[in-house]
Amino acid sequence: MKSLTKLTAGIVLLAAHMLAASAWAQTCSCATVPLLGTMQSASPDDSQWFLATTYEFRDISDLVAGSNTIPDQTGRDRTSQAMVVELSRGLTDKWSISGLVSLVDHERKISGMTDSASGLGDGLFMVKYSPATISLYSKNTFSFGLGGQIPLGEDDAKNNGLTLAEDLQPSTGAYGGLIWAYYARALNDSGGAQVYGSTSYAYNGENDRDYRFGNSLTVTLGTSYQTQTPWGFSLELFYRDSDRDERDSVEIPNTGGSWVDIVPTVQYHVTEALALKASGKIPISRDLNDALQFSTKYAVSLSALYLFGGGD
Amino acid sequence: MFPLCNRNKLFIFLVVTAFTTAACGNSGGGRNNPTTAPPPVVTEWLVNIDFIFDGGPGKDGIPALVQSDLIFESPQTILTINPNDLAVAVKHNGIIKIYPHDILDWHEIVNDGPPDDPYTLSYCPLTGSAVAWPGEITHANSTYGVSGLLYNSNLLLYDRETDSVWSQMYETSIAGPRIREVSERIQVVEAKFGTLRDMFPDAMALTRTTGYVRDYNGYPYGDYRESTGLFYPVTNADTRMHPKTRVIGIRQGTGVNETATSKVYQLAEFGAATQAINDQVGNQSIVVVGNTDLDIAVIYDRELADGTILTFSPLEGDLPNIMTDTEGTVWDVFGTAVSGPRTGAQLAKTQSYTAYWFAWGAHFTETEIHFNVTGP
Repeated sequence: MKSLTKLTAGIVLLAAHMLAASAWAQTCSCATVPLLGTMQSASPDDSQWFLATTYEFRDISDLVAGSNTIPDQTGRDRTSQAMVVELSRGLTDKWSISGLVSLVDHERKISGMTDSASGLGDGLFMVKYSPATISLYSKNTFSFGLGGQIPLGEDDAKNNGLTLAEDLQPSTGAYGGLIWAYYARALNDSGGAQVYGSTSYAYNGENDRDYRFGNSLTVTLGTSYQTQTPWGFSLELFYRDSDRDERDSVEIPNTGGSWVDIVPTVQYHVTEALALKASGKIPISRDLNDALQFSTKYAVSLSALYLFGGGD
Repeated sequence: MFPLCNRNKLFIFLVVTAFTTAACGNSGGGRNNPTTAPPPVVTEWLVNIDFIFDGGPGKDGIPALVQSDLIFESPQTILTINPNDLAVAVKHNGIIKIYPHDILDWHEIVNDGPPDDPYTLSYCPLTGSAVAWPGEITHANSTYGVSGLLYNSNLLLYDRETDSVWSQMYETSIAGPRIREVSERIQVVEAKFGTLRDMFPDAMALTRTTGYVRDYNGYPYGDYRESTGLFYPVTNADTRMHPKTRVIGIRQGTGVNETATSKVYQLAEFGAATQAINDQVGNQSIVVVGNTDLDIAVIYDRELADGTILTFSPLEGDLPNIMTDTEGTVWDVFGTAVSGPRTGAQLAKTQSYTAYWFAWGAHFTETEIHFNVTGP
């Protein structure tokens, strides 16, 4: 294979990898927001760095009874915004580490009153092991990860001296554990077309107010296509099942449930190592616990992904 | 495989990062919507704010009902409500209305009554307490809304005239311009819907046509009514009984006073036959009338305006009349003399209502329990 062809194939592989490495898990206004929703599954090679920054806007105004969206009729406006910066480093060809920090803004407007809190949220670190990676010589990527969540920011934000609701706090105030697995398979020789899937389980600890966000299981199935141009696309189904939150070991009703979302993504490569990615998230099925919950109406995100360092 | 970083690429990345970061910038803490009049800044609370919790939905996130939205029907024609489900009856200026818990669970406040004589019924599903307050027609807006806050798990209301915050169980404004104001009371009677329907066939009952789409067949809080767990910490966790034991309690005095003399009577201990307990709480002579099967209990002052202290006996099989006194007067469940020498007289209301035990014990720490305690 000529060197130019190799370079082109390499660019396509990188682009495809960034593209397929989209949503890892997404939560709805609860624990580990927005970390899981924006974490990339890319595992940089030996001595490489991977820097990703993601802005996400989430409209959490759907009022859902079980599986049915019902009229809220209260004029409530509930949104969350997040900025997540992720830095990963390849330690060897198979091992890498990632760290994320988040800046979040939660806002609830209702009845002429705005309650909001913003600031540093939770952090996340993860060790990843990737025994196989799609390349010119392999059609499969396997990755596994183990990590933890660290409460970096404020978890007792107040308004008028009163502590805001748990879902409005920038940080969960709790440590947690994460386990994750990812698989992708190339559908063509260039690796530009892939199918992929991932699963994760997040355990959330208890904060100082004895509150614990529900543990959650996620499964993602998707397909991606990186064209020979800078453009690439992906489409995935995202499933999440979350336990009820607890306070002092008492389950809180109207929390938790299961969600299925569809996540379309478009990606543009500014250079061979720098990509911009835009994603949307639209719920297609929900089965939420108990009588009534607010849930995500839609979410949009914009990411900049940058790979640097390492050798040829 | 990948090229090394160079300054141009890093610059592009930082520009993108800065752009997206700017979109997320904001200040911390609560803030007021600049497009509306900001609520008053609260500097004084009469209760420990460490035990005031944001319930999640926000101010008015649980929509209070207003009179113009309400449709009433005869309780005889309403078939959607299980007769064994609880309901609250309010008697105001001779008119009796019945409000099922099934609806109150979802709205917590009903602003009702004619414009020149309004009243507000509030019901807190987490403390199982219902009280009614007369509206103040001197105010341009005498209605209340759900503040979205809870103290000791109990509903905090706000009045729409001044935005003051009111404790339902203390029946007092605990913050805002009307701080320390104590509400007047309207007598309510809580019982099974079927009991109230049979007692007051000519009353009007609130229907599910409220203007809101809610699952009135469902209960919004899971197994909360039976479980020992609470969703929010309380100032005083009194474990002498199961937390959700339904009690009717009476306290002395008014306002916020955790150490007020108080006493409770467990509804489950009255038994299938109506009991009338002539009792003394503090310096007040009271009668407690209850029936477990009917899920009903009320407390009235036994002392009349002329200084006479009556002694009561239970009356069976003549609902809504529930007791007689030694003078031969028959009294109904709203404390009105319906026959006998004092016909037309009215027993004085007391500071009493039904609630879950944990809530009563949290609000009133010096509470005596009447019946034998069987433990949680």
